[in-house]
Amino acid sequence: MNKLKSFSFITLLVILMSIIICVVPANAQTVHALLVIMDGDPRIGTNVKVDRKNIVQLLGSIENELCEVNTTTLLSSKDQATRDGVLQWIRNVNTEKNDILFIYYAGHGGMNDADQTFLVMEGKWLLRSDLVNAIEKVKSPRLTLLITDCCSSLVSQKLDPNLQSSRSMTRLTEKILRNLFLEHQGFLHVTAATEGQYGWSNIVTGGWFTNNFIKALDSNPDKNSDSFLTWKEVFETTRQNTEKTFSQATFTTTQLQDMRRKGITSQTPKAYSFPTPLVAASNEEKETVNYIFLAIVLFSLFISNRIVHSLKKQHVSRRKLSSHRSKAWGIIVIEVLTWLGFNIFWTFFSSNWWVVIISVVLILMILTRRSKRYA
Amino acid sequence: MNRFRSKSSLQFYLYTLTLLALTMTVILFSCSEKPMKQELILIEDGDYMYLAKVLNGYSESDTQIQVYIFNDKIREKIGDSIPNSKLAAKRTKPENGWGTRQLALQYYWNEEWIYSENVTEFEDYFLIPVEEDKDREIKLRHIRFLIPVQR
Repeated sequence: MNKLKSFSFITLLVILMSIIICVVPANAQTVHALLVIMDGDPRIGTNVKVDRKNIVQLLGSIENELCEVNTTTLLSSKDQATRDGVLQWIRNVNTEKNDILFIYYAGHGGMNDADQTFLVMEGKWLLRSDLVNAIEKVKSPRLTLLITDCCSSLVSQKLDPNLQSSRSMTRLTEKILRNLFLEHQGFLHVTAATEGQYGWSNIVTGGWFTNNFIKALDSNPDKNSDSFLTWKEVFETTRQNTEKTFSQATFTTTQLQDMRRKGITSQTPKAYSFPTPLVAASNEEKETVNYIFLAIVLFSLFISNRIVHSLKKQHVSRRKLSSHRSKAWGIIVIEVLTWLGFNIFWTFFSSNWWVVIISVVLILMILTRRSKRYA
Repeated sequence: MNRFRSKSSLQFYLYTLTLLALTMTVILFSCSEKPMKQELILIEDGDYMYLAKVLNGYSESDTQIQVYIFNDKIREKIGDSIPNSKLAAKRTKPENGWGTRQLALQYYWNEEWIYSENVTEFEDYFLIPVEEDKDREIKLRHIRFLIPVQR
């Protein structure tokens, strides 16, 4: 009977472990947002205003559903969107351990002869690497988001003089925002176009990348249907839709000739880094728990086999031997059922506490009933 | 002699008949000939491009192009002649034929311009997908394209 109890204990321990991994407490936190909008530019001024509206709506949803949002907007029309202004904001931002740093840029960008991509602010270049270095010095935010909607095309060392210079989003669900903003940690660094490509926009949708990014959040692109939305999934949907927008656009003859000359055939957003999910819904962790279950079942098989073997050596009666065998198989069946149950619950109800609690109670009841029967 | 005459008249008759048949063929071909393919272009107006038909042939050196702009308001605004610089692009038939290319554009519906993606392009109209409803068939005059702007 002791052995039976110990097996039941191990099984319960595994269930509890999976519950602990499944649910990570989300502490109170703040989003520190910096929006750099080059709305003073005569060519893209109107377009970036659409982007600003979209991002402000996203931040509004976060504020309504999740946590406090402190937004600073630097507009080029008010001479605020400068290289120094951005770096100074990053230096001065006061983040706590669990906070989120959100930096969004809508404006011109490019790549120099040394293959370094940069953002253009009031006629000056801000190298992406310098921006990332400044961000990395910020005191330990849990999650950092750097989203830039600009070109990454090759430009000459001399700045192009032209560079110096509605769609409403439905309210995002709390679940999506929680997954993305509270249950990830690390650095999301994405931009509108791969090196050598242009980032495109128009007067209605704004930047195609930003528009598709917001649309991706709106459409809940949970590709693997594990009830957990990752930044990778959001980016993948954004990438596909941005490429589609490019393919459906009507360009002028001049634009087509320019792209043909430079060998540009698409606009493919690029991700430099992704944050990692905090919850156990990621497949890797699920896999780990599955391996633990497998190990327990194999261990149980081995132990039961050893017990039966030792009983045989002791020349116990056939009836007693059969009774021990059925007990051992009973335990293994329970373990396998728990294993299957865990996978089902993980897939469909990983975020629902009540299902996990009910499942634990049910398993406990089954175990107690079986224990009584064997006793 | 009579015989020769009759042979000659027969030859004459045959010649006439052949000539007539040839003339008929020429007339028939000229009548059944397809009308000259009209060249459609996109003309630039602000942030948009509108469809127009070229009325006369033109060359690169021409400063003005005679066109018929499909959209009434733009036609009233610009007229029937545009400067060469306003010619933004030429409308081309998709490689796999009409009805095989999907575009993003704006169409005029209920007195407003609506943005739509996945619009199927046909020669004389565009098919707009509408959720939970029948696709909308929109004529060329109610279509405009957004000019892409690079960043």
